[in-house]
Amino acid sequence: MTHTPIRNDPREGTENADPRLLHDLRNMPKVTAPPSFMDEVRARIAEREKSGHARKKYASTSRLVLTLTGTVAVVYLCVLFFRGNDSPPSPQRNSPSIEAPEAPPRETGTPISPSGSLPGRATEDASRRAVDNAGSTSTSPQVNDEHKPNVSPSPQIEGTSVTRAIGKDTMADEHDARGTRQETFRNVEFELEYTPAQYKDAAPESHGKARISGLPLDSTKTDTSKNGTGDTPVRKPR
Amino acid sequence: MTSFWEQDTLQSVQETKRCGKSAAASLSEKTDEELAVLLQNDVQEALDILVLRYKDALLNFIFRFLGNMELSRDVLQETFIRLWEKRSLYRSCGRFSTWIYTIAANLARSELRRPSRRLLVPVIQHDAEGEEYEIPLRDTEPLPDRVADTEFRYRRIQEALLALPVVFREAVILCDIQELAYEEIAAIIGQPIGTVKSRINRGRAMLRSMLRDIYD
Repeated sequence: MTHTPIRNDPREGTENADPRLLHDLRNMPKVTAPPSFMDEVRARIAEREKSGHARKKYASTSRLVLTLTGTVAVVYLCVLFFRGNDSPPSPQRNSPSIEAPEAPPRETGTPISPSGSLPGRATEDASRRAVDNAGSTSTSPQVNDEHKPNVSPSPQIEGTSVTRAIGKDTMADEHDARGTRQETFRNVEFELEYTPAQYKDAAPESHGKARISGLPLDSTKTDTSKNGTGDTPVRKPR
Repeated sequence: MTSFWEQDTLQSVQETKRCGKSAAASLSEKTDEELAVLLQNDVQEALDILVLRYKDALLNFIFRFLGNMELSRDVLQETFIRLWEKRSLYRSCGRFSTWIYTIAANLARSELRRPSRRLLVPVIQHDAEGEEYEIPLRDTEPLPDRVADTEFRYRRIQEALLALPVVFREAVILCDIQELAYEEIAAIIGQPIGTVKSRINRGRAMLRSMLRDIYD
């Protein structure tokens, strides 16, 4: 059975056409494919299938690599996400009335390094703990009154200032009685800077010292039992 | 799930494989659609028969459309390669000729869109011995002494065809040279029959005005 084209009705749609043109169009010489055409097609199909197999192999490999990479990325993101959620939240974060961890009652001061800044990362961690435990803090860190050990008033605190707050979450912005602007933070991580010049009017024993209330002190460096008040840490004589 | 007709065709394939050449000859008696089903079952002999049936008709269509024999052969080869590669996409409810013409027309249109090839459209005609010769494109002056020459007329028609916009060229070639039905042309170019008829008429009118020197 050979291919026989269905002819249109020769009268349909040809009213306006030149019959000579239509005749010539229908009788234009037909071009024919060379006899070797079939072999050429077969050869090209074989060639294409060969390269197609290679391409499929490559495609499947790259798909596998992409899938693995994607899976690893998703797993990594999931781990990051759940680890972030699973880290135990500070119980005091939403309940400021929870008691602060017990600290040695006498060790409430923190020594200042000779450069004027608080020494080391441990101090920062300790101060952050204090902030968390208190439920809130301000630029002059302090704990709630009910948990506050006997703290001498602010000369030691005023010399310090928050120079860098990381991840702060401002809870309130208010002014205290002296007009000092105070911000209350949650989850604050800060560095303290101490300027001895600000303490020229303070008591001589407090020079060069700053204290964050409620923090445990390194008992190897300070002696808190000899200053009369029991609060102010005193550097051991060298 | 295979239909009864497809099962029948498959049985004949198995017979073909058993009986060799004599059965292969019986394949040529099958319709295009039956052969396409065999093609889907990886019977390469079916492809051979379809190539034999369609290669000249398709080459004629592609050549009239592109105007370059070498390019047309490449497109024709690519058409049959696509036919083999995409054989699984054929649906037996449609006419096979429509499907393969659609493939060829799409490939020819793509070829025409290629900027590197678009400039290379020499008008080549084949003489009786099969030799190619190029038609000069600048031949606007009527040459009364040659108007009667049939060969010349065909060359001028081919030149005018290539000067037509692609949509009209395609419609006129499929209708007036390939002599396909309007429905089939509509399926090949993916347009309603009304649009097809309109394009054919407008294409013919354009051709007529371009070939005034011959037909007036």
